[in-house]
Amino acid sequence: MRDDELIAEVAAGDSSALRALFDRHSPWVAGRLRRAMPAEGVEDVLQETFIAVWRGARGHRGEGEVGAWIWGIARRQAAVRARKAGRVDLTPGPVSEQSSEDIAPGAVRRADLHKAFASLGPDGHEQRELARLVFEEDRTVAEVAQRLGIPEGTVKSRVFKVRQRLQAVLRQGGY
Amino acid sequence: MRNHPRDEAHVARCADCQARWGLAALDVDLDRVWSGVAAEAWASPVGRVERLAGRLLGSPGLARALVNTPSLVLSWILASALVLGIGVMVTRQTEQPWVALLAPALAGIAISYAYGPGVDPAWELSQTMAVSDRQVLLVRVFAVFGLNMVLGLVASLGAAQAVGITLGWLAPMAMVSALALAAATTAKSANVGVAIGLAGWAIAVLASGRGTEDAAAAVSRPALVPVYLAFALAGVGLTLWSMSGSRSTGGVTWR
Repeated sequence: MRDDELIAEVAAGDSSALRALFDRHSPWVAGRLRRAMPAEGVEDVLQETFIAVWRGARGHRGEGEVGAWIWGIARRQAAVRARKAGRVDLTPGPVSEQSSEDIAPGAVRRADLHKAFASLGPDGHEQRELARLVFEEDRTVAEVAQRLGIPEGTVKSRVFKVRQRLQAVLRQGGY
Repeated sequence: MRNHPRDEAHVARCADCQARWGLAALDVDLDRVWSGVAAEAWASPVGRVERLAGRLLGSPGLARALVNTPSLVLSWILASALVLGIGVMVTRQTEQPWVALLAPALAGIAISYAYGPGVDPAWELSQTMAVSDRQVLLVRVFAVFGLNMVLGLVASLGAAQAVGITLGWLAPMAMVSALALAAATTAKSANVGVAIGLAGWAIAVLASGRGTEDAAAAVSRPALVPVYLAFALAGVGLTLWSMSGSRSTGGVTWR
């Protein structure tokens, strides 16, 4: 289901559609926010952002990308938090020149991340293949979707699952 | 990807960049974030049934979990009644025990869909409440079995074959669920509830099976139905009594 269709479902009160949007967009929004504030601050802002999405979906006029709309909400929520806790700089860095280890949190070393990738499964395993294509080979979502034979929306959602799995592995390993 | 613009507006619109940024904050707990979002999304106005359940159970959170049980929503109840109704009609026409076949299947499906991630939209909400998972499960199991017992008894009016399965299985299960709920509520421990529920059932089996080799037939004797129902009512009464003290302290915290 496309993002705009999900927004329409959310506007109709479907919380499972909200969950789908959350799965697609919360990881990257968290990544962007994390550059400017601590993890707990990101969690607060993200929560307020998606609550605002839930409440404000009816106000989404369908113009522009849903991701941009959500990011706009996140920025406003971050600004609200900044007024309470200090200044927050959300200016993005050179995304295009960053590799996967650059955008990974500072606490996670490249070697640890590679170990975590390996834990996703043997070569050819669906999640590992997705992680390899997106984060190591730098493939586009469209290419990954074509390679794996799944819709682009599913690729975005599966990034969330890969992220959860990596997070669990990294925690177990005490990284 | 290497040539993608660097500006924020681009990242907010580019699925490829977003996918890559999905791995950029592994120290952010998105599950916890979602729990907070889900709690807000489910913060709908409290209806009459939920308010009543909250008073009886002494826990608004538990009441919300109960009224949101997937297999207790109106559509499910209507579907169950429809299936049993069709079963009664087919049983009368074919003289085959279709109700007896359908009733336990419905109960099994209802229990399967009473709780758990993926099937229960309130499950994530329950993770944010000061309510034990087991407490939610126990209350829901009791409610589902109680409802199925009622449906089974109603169907029995139209198909005699359903009487045996209703009395022999659903009534005892409702009793055991009520007993376990009462014990768990009184002791404020789901483990105690499970232990007492199983112990009660074991005693019932052993006591009614004395002098006979067929314990299953013995525990499903129609003569025992009043006993089961009495225990079920006693369990409900005990639950309400034990909850009455907790209401003044603002709820129940289970172990």
